[in-house]
Amino acid sequence: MAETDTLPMFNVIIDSHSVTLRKIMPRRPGYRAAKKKMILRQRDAIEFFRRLKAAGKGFDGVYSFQFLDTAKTFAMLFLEAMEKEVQDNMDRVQAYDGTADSSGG
Amino acid sequence: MGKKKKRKGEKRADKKIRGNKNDDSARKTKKEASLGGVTVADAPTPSPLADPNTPKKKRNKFYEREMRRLHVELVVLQEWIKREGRRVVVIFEGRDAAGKGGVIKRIIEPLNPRICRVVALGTPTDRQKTQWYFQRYAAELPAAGEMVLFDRSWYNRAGVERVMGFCTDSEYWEFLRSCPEYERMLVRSGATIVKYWFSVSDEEQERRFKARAKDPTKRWKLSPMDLESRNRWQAYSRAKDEMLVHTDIAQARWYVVNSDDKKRARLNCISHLLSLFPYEYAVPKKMKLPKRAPEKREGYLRPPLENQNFVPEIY
Repeated sequence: MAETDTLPMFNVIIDSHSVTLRKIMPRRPGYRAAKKKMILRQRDAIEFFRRLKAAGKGFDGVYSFQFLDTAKTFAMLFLEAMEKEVQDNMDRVQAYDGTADSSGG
Repeated sequence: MGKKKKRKGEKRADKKIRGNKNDDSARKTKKEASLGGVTVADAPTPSPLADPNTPKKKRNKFYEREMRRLHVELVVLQEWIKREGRRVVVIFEGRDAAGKGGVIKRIIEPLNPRICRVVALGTPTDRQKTQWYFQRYAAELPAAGEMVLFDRSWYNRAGVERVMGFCTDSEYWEFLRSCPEYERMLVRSGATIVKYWFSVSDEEQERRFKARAKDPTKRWKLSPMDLESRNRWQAYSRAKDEMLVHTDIAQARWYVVNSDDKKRARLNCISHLLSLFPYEYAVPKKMKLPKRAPEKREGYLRPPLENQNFVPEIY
């Protein structure tokens, strides 16, 4: 068994309802599957997020990370992107003074 | 005829103050600059500073001339900020010895300290440590018609505090969450936030540290914390990447300044800062000093000079 197989993995599960962080211990169900598509570096996580965002096909899925910090970064970036959309909509609604046909969007 | 001459003269003076209007790059930066987007023109101007073959004397002369021109523009910007009642926050972040202080020094040099001031907060007191994290920074934010330059800012939490372990994990993640909200709030309230990250290479930082250690006038800049940060280069890089990706929001963008060359970094940063504002030069109304009214002498006699403590005139 490789040395890294003794370390836990962290899954970020994104669906239409929520974002969940899950720790998977070695030899537990799902560990091997997570290991196969695991993202190791923080930079890769950031770039992967940007690629997903640019593709515009949504974020739903299960993403695996070796380190908790990297998993958190990815989850936070997703949540911030959602929040940014909310903020932008709020800005538009707040700035709408009735002169335009709609408040944008 | 006389009027015409005067107008021409005024125009010439205006041109002198605003720099060469026909300069394509200048026009481009003014046009393309916008605070909302990231469309700042990266006009590749042929600069003697970028050319290593240019003699040092010529480079220095060019630098001095450009700095003088930018200083004049900064004064115009200052007057515009005052006139329009703008609130401007400029944040300078970067590794130690990246050149933040040098740029700040050049920005404030020609400006009125009542309008443009520098905030460089030290370590928080025990009382401040119990406050809301942004509280001590909020107290320093500008009022209408002011510009505040933060020499390091609330981003300490995502940088030095994170790397050196001065904050807990939960405090750090809470910061990354609340910082964009805090800045959006400031921008909605009418403030403008500009954030600069000074990027310096490992080798250049080492060279500057050595120069600081050698030069007695610069030694005060070296703290034990700086020396410790040398050993954590990668941790800082990781913290920086994380910070930029979480806090680069449309309302308050991060701009990275390559600062391996100090002089270029200063000129680039100041000219970029200027390009972000749609300031205009308003010629102050002409004034005519009225004749001094004859003063009534009421027996005033200047006291003997020996009673006053004069500074010795040794030069």
